[in-house]
Amino acid sequence: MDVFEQALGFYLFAAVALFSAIGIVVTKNIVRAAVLLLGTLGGVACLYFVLSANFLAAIQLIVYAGGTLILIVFGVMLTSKSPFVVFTPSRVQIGIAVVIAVVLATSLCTLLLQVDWSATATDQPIVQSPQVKVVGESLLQQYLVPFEVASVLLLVVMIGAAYLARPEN
Amino acid sequence: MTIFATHPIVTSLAPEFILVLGGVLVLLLGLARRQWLSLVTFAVIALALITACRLRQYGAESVPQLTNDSLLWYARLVGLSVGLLILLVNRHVPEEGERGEFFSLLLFSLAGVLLVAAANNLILLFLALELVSVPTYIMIGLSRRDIRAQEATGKYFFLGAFAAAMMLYGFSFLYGAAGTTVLFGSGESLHTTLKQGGALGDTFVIIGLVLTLGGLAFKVAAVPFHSYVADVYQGAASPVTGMLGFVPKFAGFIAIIRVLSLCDWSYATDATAHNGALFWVLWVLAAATMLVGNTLALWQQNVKRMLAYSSIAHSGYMLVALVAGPGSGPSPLRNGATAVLFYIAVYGVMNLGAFASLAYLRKTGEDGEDSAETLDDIAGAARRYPWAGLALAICVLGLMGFPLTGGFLGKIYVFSAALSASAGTAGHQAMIILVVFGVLNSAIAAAYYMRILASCYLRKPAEGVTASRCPALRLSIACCAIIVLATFFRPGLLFDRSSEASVDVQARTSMQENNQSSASTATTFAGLPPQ
Repeated sequence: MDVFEQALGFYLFAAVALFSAIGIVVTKNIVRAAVLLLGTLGGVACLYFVLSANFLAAIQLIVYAGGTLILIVFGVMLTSKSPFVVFTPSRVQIGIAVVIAVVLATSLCTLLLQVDWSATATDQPIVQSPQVKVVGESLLQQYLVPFEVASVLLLVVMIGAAYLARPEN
Repeated sequence: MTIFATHPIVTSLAPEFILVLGGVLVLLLGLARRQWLSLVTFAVIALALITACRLRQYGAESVPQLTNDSLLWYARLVGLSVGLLILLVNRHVPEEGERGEFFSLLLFSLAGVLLVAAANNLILLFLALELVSVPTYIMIGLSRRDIRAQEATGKYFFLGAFAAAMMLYGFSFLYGAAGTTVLFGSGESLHTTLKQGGALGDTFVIIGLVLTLGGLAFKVAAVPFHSYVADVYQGAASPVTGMLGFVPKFAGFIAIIRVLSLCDWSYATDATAHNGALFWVLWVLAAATMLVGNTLALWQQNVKRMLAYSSIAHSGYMLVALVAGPGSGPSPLRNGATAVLFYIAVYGVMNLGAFASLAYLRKTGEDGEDSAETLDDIAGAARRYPWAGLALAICVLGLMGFPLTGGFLGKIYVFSAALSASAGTAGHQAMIILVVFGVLNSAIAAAYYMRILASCYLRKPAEGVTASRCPALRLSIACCAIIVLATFFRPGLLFDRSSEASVDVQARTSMQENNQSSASTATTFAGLPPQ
């Protein structure tokens, strides 16, 4: 991946992550916010891919986009009476949120500005890391039996989900 | 067999493979809505049992990350034999269109039990335990249509997920303390690391072990994670409840034995910090479980709820044997691990027989035909259906621990193991107190078991109660009653195998740092040389 492609990818996915994040704050519909959260988390995962941090990207997708997001959607589905709940934060909540956001943004920006980035920058393109290969090999060698048992477990869960979703009589 | 015999994993896990493949086959055949699905399922379990026997006879190549000991053989033998009985009891339960799902879930759950015993790795142990539990959640929902079964499914699922999370949290502490997920082995393993100990390590190990035991306490329905039992056992159809009394408990106790064998287990032989803490945690759990189960059972009018609370109490008796530990004496009567393995097998059959007898008596209520539930429903059942009444009486007497049943011997083994445990130390006093407490509890328990018998034999026959016509159910009830009696008159048939199984547990706990050959653990699953 040459430098131009990398830059293009960075700006593209950074834009996706940024605008989704703005969307989450602006929208009042919880389900929409959840879908936009997928955009943010997925955008960050794609940024990791662009930076050749494949393992980190996969974990970001599995844990955040997969696990956490589904948990949020389930939480919304189980607790609200209708999926079109309008989210109306109180003034106090907005105030707390603004304070936290300002503190977080300031500290992150200070940190970013303090680091001397020229020392870490290289002209060399990042070498493809072998992490994914190692993970894949250990899944199919050392951890073959747990891997297969996990697939049986998922089959069972699928039967259960189909049973729960069946029509009444 | 020759094509399968080539791969060590397939050979050493052959019964489990048969169960899983059979489960998929039954699931697919279920689409055609065949009548003989239960027969196919029976054949699959029987084939797995035969394969397990042949494996025991000829031996399997040992594979790293999988155990290959007598406890695994015992789990296969008992799990699959009782599995056959469970299938016979449950044959009539699923509705026409759901037979494939129901029977395949039973097969997957049994495969999970066997994998729990086969796991030599925390990851596989966790997945196997979930493979035991998740199918049972769904089977409860499939077994009955009414709202209580749905409530039971939901309750069991959410609390089960909570317990699984707690257990996994405990596993992560153990992994953090040892830096490996391998349970036993001469190389780097949790067992060797935990033996060494250390101040910081001990704290993490204690937290990890206690959280793990908490999660497993849910599986075996022990205090403080017993609250779901009554509602879930009542909500599920009686045959499925009979299964719930054995399958998760058996898997849970095997897992507890594995986890406890990681450290030196008994307080007496090695009083390190985590052994002392573990001893008292188990001691309190055992005492509380017996007390809570028995006292709450006294107040029930519903036989299913009564047996549910008695199921908690029986977990308490088995925990007493676990507190005693595998012991060091030569006599098998002094071995807590033998006692608990014997007890769980006998308990599983007695409990299954009792619930099968309830399922045999049908009452016609407002929402269709259902199995008998309350003391009124079974009133006078023995006069109208003498054989079913007799089978129920035998199973209930077995649960009570009455002589001439296997339950009596089970209690004898448990309490004698506990009495001889940690002799000559501070732990011995505590063990004697626990045994006295356990015997008192057995006496309390007799009161509510007698109410079942009295209702069954002495009262006027209830109106509107008929008998089930399922031949498999009759056969299984007869088998359960015969097994409960046979384990008293020929205890050696089962006892020899459970003491054989606990030999490995005992050998492992007293194993010293003896061999340095880590070559076997270094080879990977695929049989390739390590990189």
